[in-house]
Parts: sequence; C-alpha cells; structure tokens
Amino acid sequence: MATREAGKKMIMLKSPDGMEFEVEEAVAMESQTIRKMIEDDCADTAILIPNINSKILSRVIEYCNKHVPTTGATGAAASDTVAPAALAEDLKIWDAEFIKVNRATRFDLIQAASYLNIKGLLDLTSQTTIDTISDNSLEEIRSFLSTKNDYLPEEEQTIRRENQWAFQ
Amino acid sequence: MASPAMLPSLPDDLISEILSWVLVKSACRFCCVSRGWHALISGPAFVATHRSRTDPQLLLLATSYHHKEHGRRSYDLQLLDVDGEVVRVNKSVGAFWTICYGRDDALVCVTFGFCKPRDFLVANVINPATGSVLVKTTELDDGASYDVYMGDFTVGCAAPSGAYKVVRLMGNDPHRPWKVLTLGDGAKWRQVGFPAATQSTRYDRGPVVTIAGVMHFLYTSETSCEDYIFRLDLESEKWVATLKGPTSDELQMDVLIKYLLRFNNDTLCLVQWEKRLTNNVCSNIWLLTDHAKGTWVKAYTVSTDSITGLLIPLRMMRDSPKMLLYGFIGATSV
Repeated sequence: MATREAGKKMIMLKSPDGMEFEVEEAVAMESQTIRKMIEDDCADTAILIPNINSKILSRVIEYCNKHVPTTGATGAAASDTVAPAALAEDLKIWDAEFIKVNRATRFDLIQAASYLNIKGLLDLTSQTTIDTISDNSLEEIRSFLSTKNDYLPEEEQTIRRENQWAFQ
Repeated sequence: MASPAMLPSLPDDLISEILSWVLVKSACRFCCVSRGWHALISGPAFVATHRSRTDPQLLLLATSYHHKEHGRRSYDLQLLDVDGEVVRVNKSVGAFWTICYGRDDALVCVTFGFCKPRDFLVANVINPATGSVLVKTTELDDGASYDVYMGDFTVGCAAPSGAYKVVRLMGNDPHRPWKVLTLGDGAKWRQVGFPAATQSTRYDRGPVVTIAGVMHFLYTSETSCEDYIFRLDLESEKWVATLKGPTSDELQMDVLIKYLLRFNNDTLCLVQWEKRLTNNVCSNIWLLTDHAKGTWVKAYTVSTDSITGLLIPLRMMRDSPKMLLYGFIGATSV
C-alpha cells in the first residue's frame, strides 16, 4: 500500500476509463463500499471502481475530501478554531454549489453514491432532485425521471380525483 | 420535448430513494404519475423510510364536513401542520373522536360516525401520519345511537397483542356492568363487571389514561373526596388492584381539577390543580413510582400567581421528561 505525508495511508482508485486517483484512506473510507473492501483486505493494490467514469469519480472524491471528518492536521484550515455550527453552515453552502450540475451528471452522481454507499452524497443528490421536481407538473416529472404513465385514462381520472386536494 | 428514451433513467431503488424525500402533500400528487409510483408510495417500506426522513412536527387534527353520502353528512379527517397547512385529507372516515397510544407507542387517531342504513355508531382507527386505516369500521352501538354520549367510551391498546379495545363506562349502577369491545374482530361486547370499590359509595368520574395495556380510571369519592384509580388490564379484560390517589400533606383549600397522563411513556402521572390556604394556586405533578405498592412522589409543584388561571397539562414531550402546560396567560414547560 502506498504511503505518503507522514504515514498517511493512501489508496489508489481506478475508473474504468483508465484514470487513477490517489486518495487518503480516510477519504476513500467515506464510501462504505470501499471501507468494506479495505477492511476485508481486498485493497492491496488499486481498487477498480466499475461503472463510474473518471469525470464522476473525481467529483465523488471531491465530495468525500470535503466531508471527511477533519481530525488531525488535514490541510492548513485550522478547523479546531472554527465553531462546529459555522462549519456545518459552510458545508451546506459548499454542498449547494457542488450539486449545481445538469440532469445527466446528477443522475450519475446518484448512481455513484448508491454504488459506493456514501450516505451523505446519496441524501444530498436525491433530496435536491425531489426539491427540483416537487412543483413541476405530472408530465414534467414523468419526463424528468423517465417514468411512463401506465394509467388508463379513466384510472388516472379516478386517482386524480381522490388526490384532488394535493393539486390545489 | 425530449423523448424519455433519449434520457438516461434510474433504477427503481434509486427512484424510491429520491421519492422518500418528498413532502406528504406532493406524495399524494406523485401517486398520479404512474401505477408503479402509486404502489411504491403506498407500500409499508416506503412509509417507514419516509417517516424516518421527516422531522417530527406538531400536528393538528381537524374534522371537516364534506359531502352527503346516502343522505347523511360525511366527515373528513384533516391533518394540519403547525402553520395550519393541510398536509393530508382522509375522506369519509368519520369525525375526530380521540387519540390514543397504539402499537410501538405510536399515536393513532380514532374517529366515529354513523353507518347507514342502520344508524349504528361506528369507529375507525387511523394512523394520522400516513392516513392509513389501521382498524376498519367497527360497530360500537346497536341502533339506539341517539342517546349515546361519546364520553362514555374510551379507547386503549392492549399489550402485548396490540388490539384496540373500547371500554364502555356504565356509571355507578352495579346492574349495568362495564363492557369491552375489541375493534375490528367482529365480536360483540363483553362484560367486565365492576371495579369492586365502586359499589359502596358514589364517585365522580375523572380522566382515563392507558399505560402499557392497562387502562387507568381516576375516580373521586363523593363522600371522602379521596381519589381512586381503577385499573383494567385490556389484554385479559380483568380488573387489577385499585390504587389510592396521592394525598397532600399541606393544608389545601380545594383540589379543583385533576388530570391523568403518561410520564416518560411508562409512568402514571397525576396533575392536581389546587388552591392553598395561603391563597396561591399551584399545580402538583405526582408520579407513581411503584406500581405494586402504590407509592406516589410529588415530582414538581408549579406555583402560579392569582392572575394565571388554570394550568392544563397538554402532553408529555416525546423522549424527554418535559411536560407542556397550558395556562390562560401563556404556555410554559417544566
């Protein structure tokens, strides 16, 4: 296993398009899937992350880097002088900027977060998605999530009538 | 407009993940998107995840007169959030009657109505969070509904079976024993006899509370002014030993009003509002610390000046030993 910077363990992550990312073990372990691999000693060399291209993987690593608990002297930011509430607020703003991506990238991020089992990222991406579509029309929602309307016309009429109050 | 085939789609489990963040009102609208979404949103797994997502919030229940069915008024149950926004409407489930603690200590709502064509008094048990009907319409009374007083019925959840049972209080007359009915099992009323002590003296009826499947009835003797708590185990439908209420060692002018509550989910709590000779008014909060021995401990006394009126205990805050009290000049908590 590669080591660098005063004994910090490093992990190599590989995307299927051949790119390699060297990340701190603690950062990689934000993903429960990778954590399991490391704990089961399956991560001696590089870990291949299937289905996640280098563009998305680099964004996921960016997210994990930001969200890894800041114990020890990670970077120059002296986190111990900043109040936790301010830190959380700062993270929220950072998250909001991070998720300003197009629909395709958002969907890739959701799938990556789900595969890598990164709860924070999965919550962020799915919550943002629901916020985006909540006020849209049914047709727009179907189109956005590629869902087919399989109701018969009279069925749809009935179910809409039953839930009429929610449309007001 | 882009064709859905051109756009990448997500697997069902991720659609479900996304939808689990939806607000209740939007969820009802999303049911209309497709059959699959309707099945998903109505499923128990989704409901459980959704409940874990949303912050617990204070909810209000309201009844609204909606329309006529078979020539009789039909009532809807509305769930409102603290802003007064309607988050859910349950159509034609009857009028709000009471809430009680159900299985796993979750609050459930009980509604009542009259069923046509026979005019029987009926009740439904509803989960207010999801709107699902937990126990379907059960007949409470057989026809002579016009002189029925809802205050004569109380609802509680038996333990460990979790069956919802209604107790019909029949007053002091030993010839009219109290009765029990299980909601939803189709069986008839069963007599549970009479709490033993009531036969000798007359009692004023007080509040009722159910803790761990035991229904507690507070009664005050008309002659001695002493409090008694009659206890009915809902599972076995047998009376268990009557408790004597707490007695204050301080001189008091009058105990005016009493309430029974659940404290920390498992302890019986009695709140007395009394006037002292020193002319201040106070609310005593008693806790039953030992069920077997009937030991009461006066846990708190909230003194109020004469301009504050009655303090009414509203409810225990969930998961914390805090009680919300309502006073005429404002709300306070201890």
